Amino acid sequence: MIRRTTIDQHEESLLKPLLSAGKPYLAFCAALLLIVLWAGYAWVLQLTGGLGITAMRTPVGPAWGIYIVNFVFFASMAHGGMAISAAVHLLKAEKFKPIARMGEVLTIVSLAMAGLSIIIDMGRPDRAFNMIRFWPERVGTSPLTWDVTVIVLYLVLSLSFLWLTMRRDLARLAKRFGLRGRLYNLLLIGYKADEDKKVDRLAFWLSIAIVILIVMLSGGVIPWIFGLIPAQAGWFSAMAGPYFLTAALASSLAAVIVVAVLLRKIYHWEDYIKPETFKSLGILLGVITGFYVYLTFAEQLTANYAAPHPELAVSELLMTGELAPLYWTMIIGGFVFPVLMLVGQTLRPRLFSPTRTAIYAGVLIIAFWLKRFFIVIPSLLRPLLPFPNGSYTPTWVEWSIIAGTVAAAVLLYAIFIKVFPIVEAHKE
Amino acid sequence: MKKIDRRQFITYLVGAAGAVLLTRQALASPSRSSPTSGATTLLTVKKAEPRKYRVDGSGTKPTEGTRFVMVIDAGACIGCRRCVYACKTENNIPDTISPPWIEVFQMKNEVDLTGTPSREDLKTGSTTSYTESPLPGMWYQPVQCNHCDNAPCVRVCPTGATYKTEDGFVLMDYEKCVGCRFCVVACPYSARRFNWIKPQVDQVNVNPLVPVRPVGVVEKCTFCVHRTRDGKLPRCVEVCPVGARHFGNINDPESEVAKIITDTPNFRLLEELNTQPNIRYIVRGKKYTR
Repeated sequence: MIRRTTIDQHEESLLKPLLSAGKPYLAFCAALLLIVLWAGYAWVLQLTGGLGITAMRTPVGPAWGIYIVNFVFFASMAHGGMAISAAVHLLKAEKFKPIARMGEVLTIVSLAMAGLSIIIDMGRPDRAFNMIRFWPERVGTSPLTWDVTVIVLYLVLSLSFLWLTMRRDLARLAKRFGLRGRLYNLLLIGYKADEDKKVDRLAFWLSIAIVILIVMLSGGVIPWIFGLIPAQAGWFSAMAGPYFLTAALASSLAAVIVVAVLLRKIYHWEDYIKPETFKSLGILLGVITGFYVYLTFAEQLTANYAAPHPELAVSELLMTGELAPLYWTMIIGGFVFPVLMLVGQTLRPRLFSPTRTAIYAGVLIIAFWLKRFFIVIPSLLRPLLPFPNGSYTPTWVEWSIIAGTVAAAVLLYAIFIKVFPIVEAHKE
Repeated sequence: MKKIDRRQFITYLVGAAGAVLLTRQALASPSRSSPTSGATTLLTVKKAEPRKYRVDGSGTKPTEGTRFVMVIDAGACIGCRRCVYACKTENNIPDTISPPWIEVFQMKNEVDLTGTPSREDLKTGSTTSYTESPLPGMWYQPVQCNHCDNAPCVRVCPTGATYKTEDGFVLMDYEKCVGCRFCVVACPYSARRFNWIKPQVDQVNVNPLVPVRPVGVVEKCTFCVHRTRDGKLPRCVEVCPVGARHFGNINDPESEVAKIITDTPNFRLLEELNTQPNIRYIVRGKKYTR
C-alpha cells in the first residue's frame, strides 16, 4: 500500500478533537467528574454500612435492584458498535466505516460499566476474586460464571480489535504529538508498515469471533441469568434469549446513533459522515425495536391468557398494578412513538434529519433502561409463596451510583476522543 | 488454628453444657412446653423421639448412610411461632433479618392445603408478624429451607459457597460467599436471607456452636447441622408444643420419619419445580382448635 505523505485538509478536520480542548469541553468533563465523585461517595457509604442503605430487601421486596438493571443495560449496550464494525469488515459495508470506531469504543466503555455494576451489587466486593478462583468448578453450572467468562472474553477481543485496527493511524500520528506520541509509540510496539494487510485479514476473523460472542452474551448468558430460573414467574422462559438479544441490538444501535450524531455536530463532520448513514441506521433501529414491541406483546399475552397464577400476578403488577402508569408511559411514549417516527421516515423523507433520528434514539435508550427494570423487579416482588407484597423505590444512594456509572461512561468516552483518533483518519 | 483463650474456653464450655442440659430436659419431659389448658388432646400427640437415627456424634462430618428429612404436620400446627423464635436464638439470627429463617404462613385455604398456594392466599399475602393464633378457619404452614436434592441455589452459585452434603444438608460457607444473591432469587421458597447490614447479636446469649455471620453474605436454615450431626433434634422440632415437626434419617426404615412417610399421604412444596425438597408436609387433620 502506498501512503500519502501529506495530510490534506479533509484529514486535518478529522483530527479536530485531538488538536484542541476548549473551555466547554473542560467544563463538561468537570461536571461529569463531579457526578462520578458524588457516586464514589455514595459507594463508600454503601461499602462501610452494607447494602442496607439501598431499598433492596428479601424475601419481602426485591433481592436484586437497579444495579442489576444497570448491569443488563450496559452489557447489552456493548453490541451495536461491534456489530457495525463487524458489518464493515465482513460485509464490506463501507458506508458505516466512519462510525465504526465510535461504536467500538462504546462497546469497551459499556462493558467496563457492566462489570462495575456487578461489583457494586455484591455484598462482598472484597471477595470478587472468588469468582475467578473457583471458576473451574463453577463454570459447569453457574450462569453468573458464564457471564464473567463471556464478558472478559468479549472485552479482550474488542480491545484487541480496536488496538489492531488503530495502529495504522497511530503510526502516522506518532510524530505529530508529544506526550500522546509517546503513548502511541508504546502501543505501536513491533509495528511494520506492511502489517496493515495482515491486520485486515485478522480483523476479518476477529469480526467473526465477535459476532458469535454477541449472540453468546446478549442472546445467551445474560438472558439465561433470568430465563433459566423457574423460581421467578415472568423470568422462566425460552424466549429470554431472543428477547434480550433484540433489546441489546436495538439499544446499542440507538447509542451509536446518538454518539455519532453528537460528534458529527460538534466537530462539523457533515461532509464526512453522510446523512444517509443515519437514515439507514434509523430505519434498522425502528424495525428491530418494532420487533421487540411484538415480543413484549407476545410475552404479556402468554402471561394473561390462561397462565398459572404466579405469572398472572407479575403481569398484573405491570398492566394494572402500581407499576402500570410508568409501564404504559414507557410502552406508548418510549417504544411505539419512536418506532412509528423512525419507520415513518422511509415513507416521508421530509421527516428525516439526523438530529431527529438521534432524539428518537435517545428516547429509546431511556425506554430500554426502564424495560430492564420492568423485567428484573416485578418478578422479585411476587414470590411463589404467600409472602406479604413488597415494593421497591430505589434510594438516593442507588440513583447516585447509577448516575455515576453513566457519567463515568461518558467521561471515559470524552477522554478517549482527546487521546486517540475517533475516526479512521487514513485514506485507502 | 486460632488459639482459644481461657475466657472463650469457658464460654464454649458453659454454652455446650447448657445446650446438652437443655436438650436433656426438653426431651425428658415432652409435656412441659405444651400449652396449659385444653391440652388433653395434645398430650396424646406422640412426641418426636430423639436418637432414632445413627450418627457418629462427631458433629462435623456426615455419617455414612444417613440422609436427613423433616416432616411437618400442617394439620397439627397451631401457628404459635415457637419454632421461629427458638430457631432465631439457637442460630444467632440478628433482628435485622426479618422474617428469620422460618416463616409460618397463615393461609385461608378454601381449596385445602397443598404444595402450591392458592391464588387467594398469594394475593392477600400472609403475615410476617405474629399476633394471635390459631384463628378459626385458618391453616398454618411453616416454611423454611427445604434442603432440596436438586437445589437451584447450589446450581447457580458462582463460587460454590453453598453446597449439598451427602447426608442431605444444603449448607453455606460464609467465608466464600461474595454476596451476589443469585441463590436468593433462584430459591422458589424464598428461604434465603441476606445480611444487608452488619448483624448485631447479643454477645451474652450468642450460641458458640453457630458462627455469627459477617455483613454481606447469604444465610438460611441449616437443619441445625451442629445439633443433628450429633444425634440431637433440630431446635424447631424440639420446641414444637404440639409435635407437629418430625426429623430423622430416611434411610433407616425404623425411624419415625420413614414410618410417617410410608403410612401417611404427604406432599412437598412446589413439587412441579423438580427441586426434590426434603421437607414433607402431612395434614392429619386439626388437632387443636380454640
